[in-house]
Amino acid sequence: MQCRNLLHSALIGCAAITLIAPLVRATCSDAPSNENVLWYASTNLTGCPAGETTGVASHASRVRIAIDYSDMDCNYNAGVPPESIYVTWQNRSGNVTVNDKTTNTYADDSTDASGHTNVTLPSLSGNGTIRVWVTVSGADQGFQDVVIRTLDTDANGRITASDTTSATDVNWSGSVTSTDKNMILAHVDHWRRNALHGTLVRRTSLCDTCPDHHPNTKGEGALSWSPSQRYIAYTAFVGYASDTACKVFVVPSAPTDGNLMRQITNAPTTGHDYDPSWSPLNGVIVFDRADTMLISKGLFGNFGSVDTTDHIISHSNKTGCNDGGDNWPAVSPDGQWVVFSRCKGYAPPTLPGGWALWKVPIAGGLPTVLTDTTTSSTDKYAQWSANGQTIVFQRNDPGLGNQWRLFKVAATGGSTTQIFVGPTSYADSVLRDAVQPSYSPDDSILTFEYGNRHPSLGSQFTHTLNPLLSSPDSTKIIPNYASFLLRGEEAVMTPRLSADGTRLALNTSQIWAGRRNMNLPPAFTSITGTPTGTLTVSDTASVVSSDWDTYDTKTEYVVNASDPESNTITYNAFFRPAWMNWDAGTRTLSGTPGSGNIGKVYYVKLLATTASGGSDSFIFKITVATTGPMMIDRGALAPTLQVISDNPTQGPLLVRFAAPPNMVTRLIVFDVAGRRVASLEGKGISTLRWDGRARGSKRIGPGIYMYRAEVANVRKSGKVVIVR
Amino acid sequence: MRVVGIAVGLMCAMYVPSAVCEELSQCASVTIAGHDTSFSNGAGGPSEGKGLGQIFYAVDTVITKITVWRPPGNLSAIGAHLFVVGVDTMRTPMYPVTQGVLQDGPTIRVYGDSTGRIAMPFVLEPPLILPQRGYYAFFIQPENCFQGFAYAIYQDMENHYPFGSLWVTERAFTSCGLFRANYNAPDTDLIFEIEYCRDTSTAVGQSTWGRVKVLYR
Repeated sequence: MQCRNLLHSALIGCAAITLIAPLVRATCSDAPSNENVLWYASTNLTGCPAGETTGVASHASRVRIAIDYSDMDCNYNAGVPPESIYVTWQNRSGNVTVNDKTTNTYADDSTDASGHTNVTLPSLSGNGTIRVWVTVSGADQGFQDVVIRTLDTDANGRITASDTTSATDVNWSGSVTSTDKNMILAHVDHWRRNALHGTLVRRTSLCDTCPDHHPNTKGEGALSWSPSQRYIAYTAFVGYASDTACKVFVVPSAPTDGNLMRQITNAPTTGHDYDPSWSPLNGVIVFDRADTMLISKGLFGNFGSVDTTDHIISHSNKTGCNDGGDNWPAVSPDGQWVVFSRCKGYAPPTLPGGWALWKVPIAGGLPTVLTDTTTSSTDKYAQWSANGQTIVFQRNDPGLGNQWRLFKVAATGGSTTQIFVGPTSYADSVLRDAVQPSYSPDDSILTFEYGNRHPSLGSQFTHTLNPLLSSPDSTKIIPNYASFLLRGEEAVMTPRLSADGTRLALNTSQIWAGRRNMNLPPAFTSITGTPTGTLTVSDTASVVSSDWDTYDTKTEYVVNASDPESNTITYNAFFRPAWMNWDAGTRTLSGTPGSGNIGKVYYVKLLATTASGGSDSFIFKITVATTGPMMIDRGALAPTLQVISDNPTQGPLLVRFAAPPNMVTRLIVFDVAGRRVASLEGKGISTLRWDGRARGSKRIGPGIYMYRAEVANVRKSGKVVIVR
Repeated sequence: MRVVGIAVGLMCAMYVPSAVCEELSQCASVTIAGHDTSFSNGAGGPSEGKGLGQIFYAVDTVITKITVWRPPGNLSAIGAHLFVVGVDTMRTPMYPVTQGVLQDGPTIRVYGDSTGRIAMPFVLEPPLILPQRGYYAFFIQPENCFQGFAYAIYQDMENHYPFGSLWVTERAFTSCGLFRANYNAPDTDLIFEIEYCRDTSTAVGQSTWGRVKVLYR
């Protein structure tokens, strides 16, 4: 065993220890001249795969490695980023494992002013010993063995009653007794996926000390991830003359993309905009304005929308709602629908008061009701499941008492099912509310807020729940990030996982992006078998577009993904039309659209997940082609061409030609200065594809480009916006 | 609008139950003003912890009680908290200044029943002493800024009350408080009743009992 630093050797003498000892900073003169990293790992743990506290005195539930970092002159190294400090682990004995974490586990946060930080391994299963290695700024800092006992004795990542058959002395009493088994039974259904712990990164610089609703304070309502998860949308108050208004902002989720808080909505200056929901098609955010209407707005700049005006999707202000109408929107996973809450109005017996869930096409149209409109229940903060089949929401039903409960309903509407409610009576007479539920990107976990409602006892914070449990109670939900206590009641933090499952957005008086300690997510790489060959799926692509040829009944698309840690990937395709088949084993979409589908556009969501919850997804925008060989064979049609790409586009510019076999087709692209950027040629029935590269294979930057497509005397020219 | 002035001593002696008289006993006279329930033609209430309010004209300066009503059967276990604030009369429409709270509380809980309209009386003990007669606004906010549909309060949606209209404050969501008035329904008024207390009798010229008897003999 190596002793690479003074603290390590001085405190524990390179031997196993049995208690958590306080970290003691060595004096400068004590420290080696070239290594001033002092660290210590807790050991003799009693762990739970859900990361929950097990409550055994003097025995921690999570492996925590405390690290102090100074430079060669013994000055504290403050502000060292988490990426520079990490831990790896290896099983040394028994079946103990650190769940969902096979690679580097980074520090919880940057080093503080004293050069201190922690690394946490939250989810543990099995029993035995692991060895942890610490690396700081690229230098190996040695290892320590950590003895771990857990309630998940079979190390399958989930506690069940059968774990009692091989129970160990989890309370460290010296022998295995019924007490140990009862501890296990008290944690049944706790799952490794419940653990969300990771590095918290503050993303905003709002005023914590200003009075509520003043300029530069956190606004009201929920937050939303961008589909690329590079941004988080939220609300904040801004000042207009002597007044303030709540407006929608976006901020990068990672400091590497900067810290600029950009205001997205402006007019009307005194109107309030709440509850942004980012479309999975990337360029659009939907929000509610003045608590009466739903608005979609295109996003400028890198988000690619040319049209950034406000479009009213739905508007309602029923009698008796008093400043309430259409609220709390959530865009569906295919980007085509918005679920929201609509005030029922109050005029008994027909209008009972409260809010019901409705859904409406994002382009506007006639809404359809999803939940009960005959009672005065209030249903709000709906969120879609990743597969688009279920909607989860919070409900207050006066007939059931005065608590907020979690419910779900099919996306087509109908009967509702209660998912979770806290105990209805407490010694302190304070109700526990569960609010703002949201699915993980693989539908395996619900995140939500749960806690005390009362202002003086406000302690609502993030919890997780396995939505597949048949009858969950408060013992089945797992607290996460409990250190975040907020002011006031209904201090909702809107815990929402990002599209790849590796980050958790939190909504306090600031916006936070927690980086979870978990394996890296899989990533889609390409689609093969398209009419135009292989389509590359870039890391940030939210939409990939292609045709589906009606004339070619053998059209198939195979999606490809990879995982950095070679974990097994599970594939899914959602929002498929009835004629489209999906084979998850071969990752293949196939089928023959009917003639009635020609010209229709479908948005199929493709999802790749691994067991740790890492995910990747994109929308495959499929246009059923309107041209094909049969049209040419008839010899009756003039040559035609059709631009089939999105505009703006993150992918290629595609122009489809239908022409006699030997007729030359051309696509020429110019930049705004008129310089020819690319020139492509084909013949006959062809799709010319400009992949965004200039001559010489240089990838061009984002911006506006002009194109001219021509075949014979048919010409079409226009602008295309390339976004990256 | 209804304005009633009564001599409490005479009233208590002849018609009024003793409990009411005890309540009013410190007042030389009581004036009741507001917007009569006969004008109610709807009811409603916001969610998201917003306050529902009404601008009114204070006909006197000491307020002992403010009452609103809910429809029969509008049962609710949610408490209601009262605020009285000043009004900026220079703005059009007149604007409740929620930053200037004159009265904070009480919180009352009236579950209600289905037998008749449900009164929600906010008794002010001690009474609220206004600086002068004039325009003010009261707001009723669900206890602890309850985020759902707490209750429906009777309203007049045909704008019969001439001295003000209905206002709703901003969401109270992340934290609980009476935030700025944000929404105005100019054609809607709450149905309400305000009880004013006058603790001084009407001034009269000084005289003796004998002189009075001489005058009216």
